[in-house]
Amino acid sequence: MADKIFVDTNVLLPFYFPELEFFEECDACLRQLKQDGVELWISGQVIREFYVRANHPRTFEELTAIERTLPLESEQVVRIVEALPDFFRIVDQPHAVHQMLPRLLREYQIGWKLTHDTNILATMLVHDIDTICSLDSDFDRFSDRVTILRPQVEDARKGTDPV
Amino acid sequence: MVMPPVIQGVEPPTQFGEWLSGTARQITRPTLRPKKFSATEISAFEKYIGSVENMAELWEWFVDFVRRAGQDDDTALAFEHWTREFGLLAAFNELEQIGAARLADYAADLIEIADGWHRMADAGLIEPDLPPQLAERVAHLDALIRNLTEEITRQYDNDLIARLLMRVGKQRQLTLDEQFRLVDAVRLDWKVKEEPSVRRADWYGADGR
Repeated sequence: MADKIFVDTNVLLPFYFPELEFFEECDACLRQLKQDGVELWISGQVIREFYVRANHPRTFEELTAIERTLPLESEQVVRIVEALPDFFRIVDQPHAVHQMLPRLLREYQIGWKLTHDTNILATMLVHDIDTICSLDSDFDRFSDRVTILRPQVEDARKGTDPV
Repeated sequence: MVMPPVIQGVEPPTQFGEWLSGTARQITRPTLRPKKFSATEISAFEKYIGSVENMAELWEWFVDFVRRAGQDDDTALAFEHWTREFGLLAAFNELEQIGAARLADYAADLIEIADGWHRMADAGLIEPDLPPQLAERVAHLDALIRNLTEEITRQYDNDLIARLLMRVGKQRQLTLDEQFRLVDAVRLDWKVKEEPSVRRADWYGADGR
């Protein structure tokens, strides 16, 4: 078992929203990793994505499509973001990540929307993290560089469409 | 309505907050010597805060004062002087009589006060340790919160626990149990309208799902 693991946004989101699909799997997985003494890492990119996903007006019944002000409900999401550093370790994005990203994009021949996944990979490699906990099978293409740890879910639930 | 105490040389204002705002202005940074209040002034003040009917007003003002004290040196000095000179925290006993429903707000405010104190201590304005009375009140409130958990709403309960644990987390690393408790406290059991995709690539498309 790796001593530190990067936690992807699609695991972080159900971990804090029990009504979402995969909550039980993600909760059990992260709890077990913590109890095993594994360091759980996230990045600024994951935090931003988490906040955007949690506030998307089509995700939860409680939210309305307000973009320019902070609704009361969103304040509760901010509270979660504030609490993240007490559970996760947060990597920064040093210049080395920016240097790594174009190399990886060229190496894996990646363009368009998978650039964001590749930036996660660059962040992990720069910080010597070789395992990611993710539900996103798009990371399979990086399996020569990192190990993908999936919370126990049925295969049919995984995203598999090519981009 | 009990009027604010009269401070010698200061016109009595109509609002208590105005009175102490004026007091704060008298204590200037260059001297670093807070104004000494006379026994008469202290007595008048204690009489004022002894009025239960004004407790809510006093409390709201006090919290606002502490918030500002974290950002303003003059107000911080006034706050330090105030707590030392008046033994104000004894008035907290009165506040608790307001009732359990109000207690949740009260406890949350007390946490903010402790936070304000630590911010001022970090800025080197005051001693780092909480005044004994305030520390006792925080500990007492912590116990009360546990006992009153069933009487306050779950949201209040979680909010208080989250704030307490995050404050502790700024001073030391939380234990594993505390980390799990914090996660439970901030979780949101919102009803799902539409399950988001697990693929990051889907989030950055035109639809953003």
